Amino acid sequence: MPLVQDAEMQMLARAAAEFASGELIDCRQETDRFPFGPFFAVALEKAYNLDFLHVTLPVTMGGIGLNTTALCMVLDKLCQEDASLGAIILTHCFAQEILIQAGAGEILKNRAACAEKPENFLLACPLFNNPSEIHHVARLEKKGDRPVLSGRIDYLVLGGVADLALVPAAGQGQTSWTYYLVDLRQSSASISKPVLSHGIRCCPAVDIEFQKAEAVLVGFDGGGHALFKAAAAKLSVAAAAISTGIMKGSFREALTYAKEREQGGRRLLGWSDMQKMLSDMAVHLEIADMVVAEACRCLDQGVKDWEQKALAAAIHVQEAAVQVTTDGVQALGGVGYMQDFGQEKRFRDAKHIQACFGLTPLKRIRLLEQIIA
Amino acid sequence: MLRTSDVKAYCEREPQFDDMICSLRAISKQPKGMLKETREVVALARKFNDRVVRPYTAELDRKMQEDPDYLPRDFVEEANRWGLYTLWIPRIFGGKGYSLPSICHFLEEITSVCAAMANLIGVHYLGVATLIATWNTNIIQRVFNDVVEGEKNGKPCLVSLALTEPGAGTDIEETDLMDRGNITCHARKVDGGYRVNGSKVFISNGHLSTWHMLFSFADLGKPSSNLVMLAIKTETEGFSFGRKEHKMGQKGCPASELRFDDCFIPDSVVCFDPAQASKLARTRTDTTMQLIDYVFSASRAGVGAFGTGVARGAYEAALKFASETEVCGKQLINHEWAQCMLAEMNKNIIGARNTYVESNYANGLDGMYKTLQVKPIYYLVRYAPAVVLKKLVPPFMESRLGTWLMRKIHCDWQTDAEIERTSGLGSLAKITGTDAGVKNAQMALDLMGQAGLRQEWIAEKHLRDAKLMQIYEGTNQLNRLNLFKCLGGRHLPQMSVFTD
Ligand SMILES: Cc1cc2nc3c(=O)[nH]c(=O)nc-3n(C[C@H](O)[C@H](O)[C@H](O)COP(=O)(O)OP(=O)(O)OC[C@H]3O[C@@H](n4cnc5c(N)ncnc54)[C@H](O)[C@@H]3O)c2cc1C
Repeated sequence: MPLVQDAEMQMLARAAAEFASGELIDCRQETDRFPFGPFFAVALEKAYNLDFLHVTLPVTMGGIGLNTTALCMVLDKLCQEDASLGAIILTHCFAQEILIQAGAGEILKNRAACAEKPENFLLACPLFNNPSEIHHVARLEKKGDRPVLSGRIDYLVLGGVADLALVPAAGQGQTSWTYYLVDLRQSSASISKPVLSHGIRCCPAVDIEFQKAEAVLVGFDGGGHALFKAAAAKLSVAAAAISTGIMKGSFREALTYAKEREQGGRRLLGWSDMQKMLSDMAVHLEIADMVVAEACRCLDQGVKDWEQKALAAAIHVQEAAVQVTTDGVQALGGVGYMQDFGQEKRFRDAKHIQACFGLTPLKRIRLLEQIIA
Repeated sequence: MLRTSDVKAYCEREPQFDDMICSLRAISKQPKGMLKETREVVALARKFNDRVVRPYTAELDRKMQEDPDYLPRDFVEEANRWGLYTLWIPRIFGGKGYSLPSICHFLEEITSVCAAMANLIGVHYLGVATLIATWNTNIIQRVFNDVVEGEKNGKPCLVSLALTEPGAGTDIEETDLMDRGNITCHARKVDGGYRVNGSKVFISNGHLSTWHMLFSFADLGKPSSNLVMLAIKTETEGFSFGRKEHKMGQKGCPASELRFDDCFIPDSVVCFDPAQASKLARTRTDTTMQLIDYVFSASRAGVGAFGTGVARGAYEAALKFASETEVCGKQLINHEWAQCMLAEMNKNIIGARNTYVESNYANGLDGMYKTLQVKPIYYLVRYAPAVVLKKLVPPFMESRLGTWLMRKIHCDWQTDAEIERTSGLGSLAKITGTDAGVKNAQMALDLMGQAGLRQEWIAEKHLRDAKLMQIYEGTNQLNRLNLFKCLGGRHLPQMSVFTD
């Protein structure tokens, strides 16, 4: 795989792969029923203890301080088996990146130092909306000279898991918006039950209603959009790595099945239309691997215009993942539609993760805007 | 300008004119009443959607996630109260006798709100169509009586189709593959009937059905020429339900395993077997394929309607979202790119609908709906007083003459070209509709972003539901091959399928 470079990375990759097969596969079907089944608290805690959540947190803040390449590698390996944990990491890293860009690293450092459980370390945020597109922001008010938030934030990812959330807010009538940190344990933040969702069900989201909830400014007033844009560009590569992992899992499952299942007196793999379908899947994922690796390289080396490359990579890979996982179900016929094989979950997860950072068609338009600019 | 013989010759060139525009050929032959009926049926579906389906869609889906073993008998009973399980049973058999093609329009409407509930209704007619395809008028009369009775006494009597086996999904739908496959549902001829052993999987509505139309085989060494079709009642000794699948979507509609353990089936419910097949003009293998094609030509148009419906449901969710949501300070519906996406989705719907309508026309001209659409028969069956029908029909149906005549018309007199046309267009409708369903649902999610991920918007449910449609009634790959076989390469003598 193009992403794996040095020995440290290889070790990390192996650890992630072993973790995925040891901790995620067995409980995948049951935890995918969340909130009607159990949340994978144990697996999350183990992942936290193994520092999978700390990969890109700078060493000075208590993390491992690795680059985006390393993060993508971990996500790729985990998501071959189950994308929910990957999506948790992505959500947290997105919020973490915004805090770092906003110069609020101290908060991360303190949390890393004090957290006993993942809940006290993780950050919740609305991963699937770009507030500059759809203005879902909390209402900023003042209590004395302190900022407080009122109103509703929809689909706050990890809202029912993490105790701290990064949310967008704006004053009445303002179009520019700002990020704030809100402690979700305060009584003025009322949290809904987990939202029933399409995919990645163990990376749950909630709706949240604030009533003058105390909040801490992140960055500067009106700086939300710039922070979002920078963090989304960077983390879009990580989202693409999730999609790549999902694709690989789907392809592997389909190939294994096609080698075993017989129809018409021969293995499915013996039918050339099936070969064509599987090879289409393989083409998509080989390209996805290369694209993600190259986007990581550009990003980690700060190559000029890396943002465009990162966005283009994510758009391409996530679209490919939707196609691959659709075929991944199809290759198994009726069995692929059942929850037993994980293919239908991958189909949902790939489509779900494609929606992160805003509307898919607008991502293309944004890319063009960047190229023109 | 051209001599009649020239017109004929040119029109018989590929693509043959008769395959191209069935609607034009059919329209003058079609009884006028069918339009009125279809309009009525669409209105009924919309009313049923408003009163029953829409308020229950999200709840049923959620309920099934909470308790995957729940069986939606409540909905089936409600549909039964609304008379939906006899709506398309011909009046000669005691049903309400709506014209059969109108079911597709009904199913499109229901699916646009909930595919699971559409299946809870529509799959019953898949069983019904299978029974009709045997043209065993005696058994048809008996089973339909039960369905009608079930409506009267409030105990729904549904019919399922049990074809797929654990080792044979694609294989069991094509005689070219059957004999090479791993078919295991065995019907051994014994005194007074058959003894059945084996199992069937993924049978929609299985746990909720009273009658099961079973495809079994007298000789597993050569199933293609040894088809035994049986009508089996749930309480039959040796029959039991196995596992109920946990599916991604269409959760409200159970997919069941049916088990047969030395299950004795008396001659009185043997719909079709090798002895009967031997009396028909075609070889037994060709008859098996004809029977399967006959059912699928009609039911795949129905799946095309499911696909169209789910494509429409996704479109309607996206349209609603776009009309209620501001994006970048402007209504989403007024962004040019969104308008083009919505138009593309609408294009998919209209194209899909046209293909299932065309397939229906073909079935009216050359397939299952043929007899009932002949104008005098249509008007007699539709409007003659029930008492008259009751007097005339049962004796005819229960006589051997009934079965003989219907089989003559529908089996022996159906030409190969007619089989190819109806079967090919059925596959076309199935592929076009279901691909449109998946595509539109994916596009809806693209357009709706975060909102589309939430189950309460139903758009994501449409995507989960739509994916199944590309799989059942033959995967879309199998249907592509069938389309090619029937309407693509048939004029090329060197063409053969499944010979890879
Ligand atoms: C929820 C659900 C409900 C269903 N309801 C019913 C029902 O009511 N009654 C009923 O009888 N059946 C029902 N089915 C069964 C359905 O029709 C089969 O699932 C379908 O025909 C595919 O068969 P399979 O699942 O065994 O897949 P397989 O036949 O094993 O196919 C697996 C893959 O291999 C491909 N493949 C197979 N053979 C070939 C070939 N020769 N060339 C190229 N590719 C090939 C297929 O296209 C597919 O991609 C249902 C299925 C589901 C999932």
